[in-house]
Amino acid sequence: MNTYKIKLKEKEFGKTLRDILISRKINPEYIILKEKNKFIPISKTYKKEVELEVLEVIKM
Amino acid sequence: MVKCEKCKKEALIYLAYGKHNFCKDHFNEFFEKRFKKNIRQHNIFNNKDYIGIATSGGKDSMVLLYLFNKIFKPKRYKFCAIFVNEGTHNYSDKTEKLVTDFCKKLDTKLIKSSHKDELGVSTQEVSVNYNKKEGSICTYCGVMRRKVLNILANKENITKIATGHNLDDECQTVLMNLLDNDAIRFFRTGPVTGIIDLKETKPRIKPFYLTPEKEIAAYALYNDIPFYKEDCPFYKAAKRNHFREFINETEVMHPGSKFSLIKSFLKIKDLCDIKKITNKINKPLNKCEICGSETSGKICKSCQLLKDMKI
Repeated sequence: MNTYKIKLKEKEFGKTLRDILISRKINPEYIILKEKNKFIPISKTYKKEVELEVLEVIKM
Repeated sequence: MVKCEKCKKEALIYLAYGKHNFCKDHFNEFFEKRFKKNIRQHNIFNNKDYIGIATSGGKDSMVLLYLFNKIFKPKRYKFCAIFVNEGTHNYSDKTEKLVTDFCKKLDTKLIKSSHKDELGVSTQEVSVNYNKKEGSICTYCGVMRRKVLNILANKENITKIATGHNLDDECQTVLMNLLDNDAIRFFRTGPVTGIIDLKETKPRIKPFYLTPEKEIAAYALYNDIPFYKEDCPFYKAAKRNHFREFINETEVMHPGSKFSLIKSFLKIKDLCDIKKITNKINKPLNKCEICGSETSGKICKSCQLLKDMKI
């Protein structure tokens, strides 16, 4: 299972993680997200800089 | 915030095919309910069976072992884990340790052996000089592993072998067999494999037959079930990878396609006179001239592959 980290940029604040992932060409159906070791939904939005861990559970 | 459809908590996962939003607890409930329903609906096993759970250390088989312990141990069903060490460098020993530790934690009986011990040759050794015309190294490894699982099941008087094959695996298999024009393999697959009753070849059962791969991964991660996260070093050789990509892309465009494919397959299987289509299976089975196992030819597939390699 491939894992990597992504950092949200200012222009992405207020957008759902689903939309952010799609704009970064990451398929939201193939991954699970973690923030500070806690699983988070892709419907979530942020208004601050955060680092997220992407777990590729379906091979791309 | 998107809420769980069953409670007011924040939803953690969205399942596009059913437009379901679930929190962790209700996802677990949904997941386990479908697992039990699949076993019941397809009459996969009952309390008279002794189930050997083929445990590779990957997410599917580790979740399967966990669920057997959670659901069927309290009901006193008889089961154990089976691990087959393929002898793949920098891989098999790590998965063996993971499975051994998990079985200890769950207090579950574990039966172990290896390709080398049972067949005299490891997958790593086969990978050096196998016949590429027969397929990839995964063809050899799969045939060998199935044979070793069966040898161990017979030694232990196991009645059925449970595997972690999931909805995604089954979609790939159905499409592959269809495009290979292989009627016997096409109809042989299902929640319980096989068309005719065999004495020595134990039926393989698939409790995750209708469970998508992503949900098994999510269940494992949400519930801290350990699993080996690296791919087998030979992973890229597998023919099914092309079909995996095609089916996943279709599912994203048209959610529910994986379920539709498998449900259509089950309907076709139900409507067909399988014995007429696969007339080969009406012939009595022979004993393999080399190892004595059941085979439709003179030599079983495993012995044939190894014989061709002069092993």
